[in-house]
Amino acid sequence: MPEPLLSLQHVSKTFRGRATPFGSSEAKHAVQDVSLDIAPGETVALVGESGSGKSTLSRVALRLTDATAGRVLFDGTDVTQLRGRGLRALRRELSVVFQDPYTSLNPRQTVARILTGPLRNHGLPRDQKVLDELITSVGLEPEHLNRYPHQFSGGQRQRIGIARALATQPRMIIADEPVSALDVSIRAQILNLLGDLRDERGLALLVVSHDLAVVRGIADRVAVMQDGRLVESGPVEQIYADPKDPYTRSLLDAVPVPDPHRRSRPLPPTE
Amino acid sequence: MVELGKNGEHGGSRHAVHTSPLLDQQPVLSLRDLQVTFRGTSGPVPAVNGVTLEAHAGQVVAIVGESGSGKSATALASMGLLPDSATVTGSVLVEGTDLNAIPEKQRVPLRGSSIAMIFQDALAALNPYRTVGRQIIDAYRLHHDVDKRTARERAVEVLDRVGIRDATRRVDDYPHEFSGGMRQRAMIAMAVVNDPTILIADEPTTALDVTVQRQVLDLLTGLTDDLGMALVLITHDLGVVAEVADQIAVMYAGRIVESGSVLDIFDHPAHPYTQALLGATPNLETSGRLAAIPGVPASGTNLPSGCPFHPRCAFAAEVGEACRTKRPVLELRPGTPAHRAACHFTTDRELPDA
Repeated sequence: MPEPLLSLQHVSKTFRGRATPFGSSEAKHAVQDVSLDIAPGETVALVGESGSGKSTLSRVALRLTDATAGRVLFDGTDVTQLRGRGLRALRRELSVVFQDPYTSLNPRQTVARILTGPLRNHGLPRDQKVLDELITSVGLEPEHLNRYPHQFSGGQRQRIGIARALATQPRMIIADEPVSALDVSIRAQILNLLGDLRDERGLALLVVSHDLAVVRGIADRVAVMQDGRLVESGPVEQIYADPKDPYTRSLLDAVPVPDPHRRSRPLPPTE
Repeated sequence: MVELGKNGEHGGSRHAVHTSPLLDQQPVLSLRDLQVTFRGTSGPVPAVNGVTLEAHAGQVVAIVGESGSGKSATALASMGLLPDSATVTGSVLVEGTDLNAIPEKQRVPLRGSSIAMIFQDALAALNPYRTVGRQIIDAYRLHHDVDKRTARERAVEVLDRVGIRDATRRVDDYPHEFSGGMRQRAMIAMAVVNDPTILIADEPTTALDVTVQRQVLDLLTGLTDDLGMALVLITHDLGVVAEVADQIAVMYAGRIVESGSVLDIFDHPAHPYTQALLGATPNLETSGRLAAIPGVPASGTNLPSGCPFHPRCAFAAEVGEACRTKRPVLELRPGTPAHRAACHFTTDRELPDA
């Protein structure tokens, strides 16, 4: 086992209860004692239903929120307490792609400006050649650089989101539900693009998803979360063929199978 | 306006989606050459362009499509719920009455009792200021001249039927006190409280977790079988379709491009778009790359000439000019009772295996 690139060690995250006019709400233990390693170049799918804590865990890894307990190591460095310059260095190496390509791009900025943002933040070269390379690497054209987000379809916007994530040449990308807002015919495009970029650049990927079918083709390993805890993790083949945890099995059993010959509802009469 | 009415020449009962001899009674819902056009800032935008389909009692008819395919506009037109900015032509026959030919005042009594609808977002469909029970009671009393107590008993009964545990108590809860899956059930309860003949479900499980999705699908098919409703299921998810649909209409850019039984569509797809969608649908068994469909879905504002799928089609080059210039019509596949496809390539041959 190579040294992990990202190592989550006994991470917990508790959201404090809030006082409201109707009484105070209870504290929410969103993530409880989760440990997960991701090796360089490895793709891990973090799977669970709503409320499982998968998004919170990914936000802890990104330092978008702070863990209540536990440590996050990136390339051997404890990033849990990083600030300023150190945090900036982490942001350069670890990028994010968000779920909703409609709200995660500034509508008032051109694509060129959206892509220039991270380059400027990190003092990286941002000439036309760099932008042209970035935009073509995600399957768009240099002429798209001067347009605004609203001029693109959902799939194209997600490509722009991926180009922005790639701008700083990170070693790892965390993608939170990267295709769940997209049409079926576009999902495959974006998943294939992520897979290709990972292979070309040796990126590590953490793909957060509620859909076990979607991550089947892209993941090396799958980690399943339920109610804030990691219930099972293992190589993709093993998880899908021989899940050990009953919750994983129930998730797999619930996924609709696109084959009418295997359904439980009787088929319509044939003539 | 683009090619209005052309599909109508081939419309009517010949294009019925279902013609099983076991279902020889009249369809409860029949759309005939339905056209929906929205007023856009730069001219009319065709959303639905000549849709003809039928649904029989006890049948699940799935309308499959991506964004811009016109599937939701078809659903809303069937309910007569489109805004004034939409022009609807063609007919929407609900148990023989053309909803599109009668004034709004006469449609109201049909909604809920003959044709009801559920939506993707139950939270938006339920009134947050009123208890779940109150909303079901109101829906029931709109169509039934009964006192509140009787209506309340009916509300509890129907909540129980849709699987709300402890319905006698939960009937007085507000929507925010229900989980996402329970809200979906409550909305279904409100829709079926008047025993509608037709239930239109627009992406009813898209926002739900898979385990809850499974339960809601079981509930909907159970109600279809028990109450003898026709369920028109609008979805983009071919997995869901394979599990529950009897008949399928695949829509692309406002038109039905292929229709037939669930086995016709999954075992012998005859339109390249259907085949490509099946290839792009992730499943639990195949690893590696999915077969992506290049380009973006066409829509009323971005409508290619000829066959609207031709810019993304793997077979258009082989056919040549016809795909770019001539719109294919939905035609019966030889040797089948009701399998239809609108494709120049497959007019005289089968699609090669993907």
